[in-house]
Amino acid sequence: MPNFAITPMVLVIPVLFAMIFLELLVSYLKGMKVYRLQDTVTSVNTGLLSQFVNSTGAIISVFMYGTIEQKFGAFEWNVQNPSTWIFSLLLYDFLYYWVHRTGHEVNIFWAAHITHHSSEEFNISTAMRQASTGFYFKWVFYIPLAVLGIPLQVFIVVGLVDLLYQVWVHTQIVGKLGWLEKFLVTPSNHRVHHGQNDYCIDKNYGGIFSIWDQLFGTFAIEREEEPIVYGIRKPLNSWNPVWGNLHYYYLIIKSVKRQDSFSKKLMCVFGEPAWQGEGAQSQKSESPSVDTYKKFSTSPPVWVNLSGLLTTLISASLLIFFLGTKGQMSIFIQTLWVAIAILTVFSAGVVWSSAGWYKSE
Amino acid sequence: MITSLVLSDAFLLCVCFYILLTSPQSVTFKFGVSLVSVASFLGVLKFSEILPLPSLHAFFSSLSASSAILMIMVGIIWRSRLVAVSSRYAWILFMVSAALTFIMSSAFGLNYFGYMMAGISTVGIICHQAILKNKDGLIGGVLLLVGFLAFLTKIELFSVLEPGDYLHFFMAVGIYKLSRSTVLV
Repeated sequence: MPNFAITPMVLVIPVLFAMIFLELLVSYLKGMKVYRLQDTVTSVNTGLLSQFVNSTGAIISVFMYGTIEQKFGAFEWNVQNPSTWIFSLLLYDFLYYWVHRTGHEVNIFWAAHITHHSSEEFNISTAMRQASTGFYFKWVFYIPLAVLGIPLQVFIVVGLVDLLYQVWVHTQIVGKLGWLEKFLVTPSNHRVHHGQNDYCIDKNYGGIFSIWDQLFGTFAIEREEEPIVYGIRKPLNSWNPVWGNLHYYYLIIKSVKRQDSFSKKLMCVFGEPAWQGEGAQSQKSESPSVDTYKKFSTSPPVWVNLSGLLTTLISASLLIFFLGTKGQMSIFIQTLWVAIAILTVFSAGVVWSSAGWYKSE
Repeated sequence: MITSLVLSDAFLLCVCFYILLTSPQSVTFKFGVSLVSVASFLGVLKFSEILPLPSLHAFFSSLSASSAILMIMVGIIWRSRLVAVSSRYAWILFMVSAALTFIMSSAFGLNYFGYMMAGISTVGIICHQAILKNKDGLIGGVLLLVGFLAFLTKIELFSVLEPGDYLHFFMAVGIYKLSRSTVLV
């Protein structure tokens, strides 16, 4: 039996589940319906999948960061000094703003980040719905930290802090927070970010601080008079986490194939998501309304719902075991685990999204 | 301390500033020139020992070789295309080329990848300007190439000049000539 190491992510997973249950309970007591079974299971499975993939993919980021920091790191930083941490967190959050903004405004990077926005609900489980494919480009944005010589362990910790802060802002049960709204990312601020109403598009990219949005003109305040419709303009219409991660890449490839010139093909990859190129079907572009918007839903038999819940529990247990023991595994065995995880959630997704159970498409 | 490298880097810096202020070239071209100016500014600080930041100078020199010359080439060859006139696409080009350089040099140990990019970009400029029979652009490209070759072969013609000086002087004049080439495609 391999030794089990308690890593931060091993501890975080049960905490996230506890937060989901807490939010579910509070929303029930408040008479709000913010969870749907299929959506939640899909979000959680997508999150588990991303942890499987990113735990291996993150090696790329850590390797690149470490190499550049060793080669070019300009200054020595005292990790005992709180100002090192404060400065690093501020700079990290600033760079995160640009990573996030690029994730929304450049098609190929939107293909990765769209996974997180594909949920039509907005709750703590949406925070878990993270992309499995974003690790290949994000490290580039953090090079300034490496060049300044911020130590690798500081980079990892502030990255984790920035990520974990963003969990609690995915909720509808917390209203506006007064003066905090002016400089922090809050649930209200982030609800706008996840909206598909016209005024929400490409707004509020901040991770912890909303000051970057105010500085760069992407700040928007939640409007009480216009309830937010969550999700994306071209709905995913699937409960399959693997398809959720890959569907936009598929659209880009189809779009590239349609173009007749190289520059148009490049535009399909690096242009704005709104740029669909020639021969594309026109996107739904009108601002949706909560009264008329139809969410994707299915009504599968009870055993199918139970199979989804069971898959989630098994996947979560496997992930905790994987994260706690992967230090003792070869890259081959790690890859095998990731492959099994992909197959597991893919199979569950296929069963859940089977055409016979569709209510709407 | 004033050395020949301080003077040549300061000369390159001044030329870059002059180009940034006066040249009608595209955003991407000016982005490339800005990167060169940062590297030369850090060079002045380093060689004069006012504020030596050798690793930062090395970092921006590496970016100058890989991304900056590529951006200058794109700004010259595709000067009216979106990739040259839009700051959004200039940034994307910069990020992609920088990422490629770091992957090649860090992950695959190809430390000469940046020079290779610079060389290919310069040859691209020379060929393009030769086809267009654009004298200023052609001279600019050739001067850039001579500067790189002088630096890589560690040329020593005069005892007072170091290989880096040739790179700085030829780059300065080369980029200046390119900034004055005005053939529209």
